[in-house]
Amino acid sequence: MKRLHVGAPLAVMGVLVACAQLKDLPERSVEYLKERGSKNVTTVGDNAITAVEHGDLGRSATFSMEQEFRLGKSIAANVLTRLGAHALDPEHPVARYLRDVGAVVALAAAERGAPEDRPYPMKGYRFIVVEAAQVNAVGMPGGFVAVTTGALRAARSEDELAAIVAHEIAHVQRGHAMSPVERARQQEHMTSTLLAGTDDVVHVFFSKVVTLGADFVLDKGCGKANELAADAFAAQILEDAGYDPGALSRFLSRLQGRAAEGGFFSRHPPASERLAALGERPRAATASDGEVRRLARFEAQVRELP
Amino acid sequence: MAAKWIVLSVLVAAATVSEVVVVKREGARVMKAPRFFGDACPVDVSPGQNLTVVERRGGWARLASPGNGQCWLHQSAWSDREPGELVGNPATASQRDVELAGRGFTEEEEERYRSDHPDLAPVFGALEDYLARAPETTSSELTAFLAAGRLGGDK
Repeated sequence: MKRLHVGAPLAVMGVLVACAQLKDLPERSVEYLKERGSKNVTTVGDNAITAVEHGDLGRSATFSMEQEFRLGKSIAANVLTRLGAHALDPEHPVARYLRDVGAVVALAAAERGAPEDRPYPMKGYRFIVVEAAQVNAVGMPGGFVAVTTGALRAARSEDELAAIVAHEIAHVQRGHAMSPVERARQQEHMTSTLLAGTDDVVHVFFSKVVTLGADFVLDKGCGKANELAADAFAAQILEDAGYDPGALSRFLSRLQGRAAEGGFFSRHPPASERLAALGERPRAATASDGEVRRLARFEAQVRELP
Repeated sequence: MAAKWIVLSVLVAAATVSEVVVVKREGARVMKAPRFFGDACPVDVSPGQNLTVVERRGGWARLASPGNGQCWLHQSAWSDREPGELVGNPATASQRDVELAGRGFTEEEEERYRSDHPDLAPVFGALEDYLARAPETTSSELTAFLAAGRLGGDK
């Protein structure tokens, strides 16, 4: 049933918009996917599901940063609506504080960037504080990063907050959140139809991939390999920025077992797996001057939360 | 002998052709060394500004100006991709991929999507608010934040 949930819009769209090419497309699509190592390829509908869920199609041509921004904004609107929560005013002290922490992390991530990474977001990152008790944080295409007040309260230090943000920025920069969209576009029957199609066809595609993107970042997660890769990149970013690289491990360790609450934990691999992959990161016996200072300003900000 | 001089002249000319990059985003941090966590140059660059690069090091470029050849800008300030630009293994890209990447996902498409989903209007409004009123932390704000938290090169 889970497969049907994500694949259905794609399969339905394939039927709706691919009529003109349907006669010769299934075989071509099968070949297209097989050439790229897809497994269990059977029908056009299955192709869409298989490719999107298992990521068999590699990235080839990309969207521009403006396209990613437009898509990401619509995905962000969907995600925030589905969280059913109110965004804190951007001038609120906590929103400004999150913006500063996010800026440090984003710069460290950019400096550590790899050639295959997405470029820096067109309008920079936007860190949005969402008033919700659930512990949750979501990184979206276009540089939109939402962090709930529940996550801010669950963190015990600025370093742990930076760790949450670093994990989400890792997803954005590595293009994890865009990958299902790019894979959907690469479906042979869709690309054929979209290229020949009217603006209405493109509009249908846009609407579908917004839903697809929101499903991925909010519910399904980016897949185990990408989640573990985001953790590893986050630890590296933290170290580069001067934060405690073990902060993510400490946050996960303390909150493991809360998957039933949903949010941040339910769409990720089990905390035990993530902790094992991150490895031991022992903490110094005494806190550094920086940690003490950061803890003080973090606690002052948390007291400002509504 | 003449041929050698011609070859040498061409090489010298090629080596001295300066690269120009165009700033793509606001709030870019111009640094005194090719790293984000250090001293910032007291100069600003703006979106659309053309900058002449005199040296490349990793993801950083040393600028002819501003800063009189003493300031560095990271590629995150200017890099962008055109729709359909190839990434990863170009051998796996089809012409169709390239052409398709140029379609849709425009501002007009976003407007159309918004008009189709009036229930999302309040949240789109909140996002616009963040875009307009919460620009990225400025270079001077960031310098102060880093120093107060003993971050970056000042642990």
